[in-house]
Amino acid sequence: MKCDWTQKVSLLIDGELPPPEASAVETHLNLCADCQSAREDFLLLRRQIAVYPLEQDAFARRRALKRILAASGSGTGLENATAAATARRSRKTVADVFAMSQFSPAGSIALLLLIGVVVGIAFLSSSRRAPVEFVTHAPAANDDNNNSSIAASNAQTPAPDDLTASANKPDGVERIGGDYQKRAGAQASKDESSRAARGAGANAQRGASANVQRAESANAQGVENANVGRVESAGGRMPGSSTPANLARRQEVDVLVAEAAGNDAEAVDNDATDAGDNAPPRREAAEAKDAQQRAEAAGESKTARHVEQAQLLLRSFRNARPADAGRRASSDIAYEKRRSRKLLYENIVLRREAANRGNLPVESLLDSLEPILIDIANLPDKPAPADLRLINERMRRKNLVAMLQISAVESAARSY
Amino acid sequence: MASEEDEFAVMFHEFYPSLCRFLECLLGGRAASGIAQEIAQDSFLQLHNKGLRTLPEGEARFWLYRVARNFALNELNKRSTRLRLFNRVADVFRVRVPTPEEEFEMAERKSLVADMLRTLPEHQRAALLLREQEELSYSEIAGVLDISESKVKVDVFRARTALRERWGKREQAAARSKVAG
Repeated sequence: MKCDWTQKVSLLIDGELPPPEASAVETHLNLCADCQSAREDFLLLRRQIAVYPLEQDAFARRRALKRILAASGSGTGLENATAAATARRSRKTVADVFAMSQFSPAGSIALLLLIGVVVGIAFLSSSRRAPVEFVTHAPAANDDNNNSSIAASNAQTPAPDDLTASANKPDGVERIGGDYQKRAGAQASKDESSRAARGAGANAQRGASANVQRAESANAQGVENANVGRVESAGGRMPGSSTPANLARRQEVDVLVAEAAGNDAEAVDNDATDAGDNAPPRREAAEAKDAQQRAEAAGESKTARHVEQAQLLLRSFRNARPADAGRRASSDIAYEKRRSRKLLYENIVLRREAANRGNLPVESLLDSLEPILIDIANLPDKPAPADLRLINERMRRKNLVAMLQISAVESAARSY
Repeated sequence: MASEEDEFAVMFHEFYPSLCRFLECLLGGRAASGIAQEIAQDSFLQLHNKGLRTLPEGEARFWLYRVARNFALNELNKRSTRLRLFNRVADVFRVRVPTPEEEFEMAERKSLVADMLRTLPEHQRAALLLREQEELSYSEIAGVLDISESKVKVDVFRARTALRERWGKREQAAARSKVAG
């Protein structure tokens, strides 16, 4: 069955509905299971598309920039440069077709031979040089590619499938204090793996397996790819960073996540110890289940509190009027910045907990809240009105305040 | 006051990676990563030659996406013609069946997202990518793709619905194979 409002749900999650209509759709969402599942699916898709990784290193990017500046500075002319690029692409596409078409080596050779024979027959009457030329042209084309900086920058690009290898290379974003981040990540992953091992011994399977996955991914792939680990642990749900500009912030967040993971693992340990080592297996299982339920309930109420606080913060941020009195404006924002930083830490922990519980609506809500919190926390002391407007605009587009309010209402309804 | 060259460099560092990603997804995933980078660079080259300051403030990003998408469309047209020809010949020679390990590896390598996106018509794919990855508003997307805002609404919604259905079928197939296994 399809509800007629599904398209409006799509508009709602894009923040493209005027406020009265948005609240009507939100009310409808509470009543219509079809639209609820559409919203969940749309948000899931959004996160999967947004999380598509950028795999480029800063070095290759700088080289590309140099090439562009040189191409236009040296008077090459736009038309020449574009024509050259088009020609290059044509050559490459032919190579791509060979690479993509999954030929066996024998098949490739046979195809080349066939082409050689056809060309040979065509030129037989005039000359027998054609097939030879075909063979000798190939390396020449390669040389040409090697000389061009584009080909070099392609070589810098990590192999598309080799995640582990790509973790060792710098990402598309320049790292500031990258070494520190790596060390922090490595330390966190070490702590995690030891805690995870203890947790596993005490039957805290859920938490432990999550920790092991986190620890493994952090160990094997570095802090950046801890994200990938989280994706797997959430059963294919990819958490994400949405804006391209947010990648740098994501790295920062990942360090925070790695720090927060310590607390996470400790909490699981405590639960597991509460369950009692010497109890008979059934009782032990029941107690462990109880402990798990208690932990989940505690997590939910913590989330509800957090959501409420975040909502208050965003409302107060939205109402802040900057730049009319410079000094007052900066002190106003300073408060929001402090709150935002505090909530950010909480948000990261709670989002991970929601991911572990498989609570998609909460996870995606916190996920869309996170970049806004980061933005507010990172604002300069005297933010330009444009900065504030930009954040407000993004909040509006995501309908964030309304979403937070809905979530707060829902969790209040559950607790009664 | 920063020179135009500095402004251009800042803009390049800020938007080049996301432009590459947009083009890569538009052109069919990781296999197209090289070509995506080339087109992104050519688009920036065009911008540089045109002069960043000749565009109204805040417009340069959208201008870039517009140019890049036109390059990508050319590329897609050319490629479809070439691929048709080559695939006919290739089918004759495709004799080797990959081993299960190779198949698994290949499936792992293929990005799920890119696979799903490839099934959409180009205009829906472009609209959805600009919305979900670049977080442009509908009016901005309409500007980049040179279509009306109501068409953007419809395209984004249809793209989502199509992907949702395909995703659902995929999940069902996975569940069935699990039960059978």
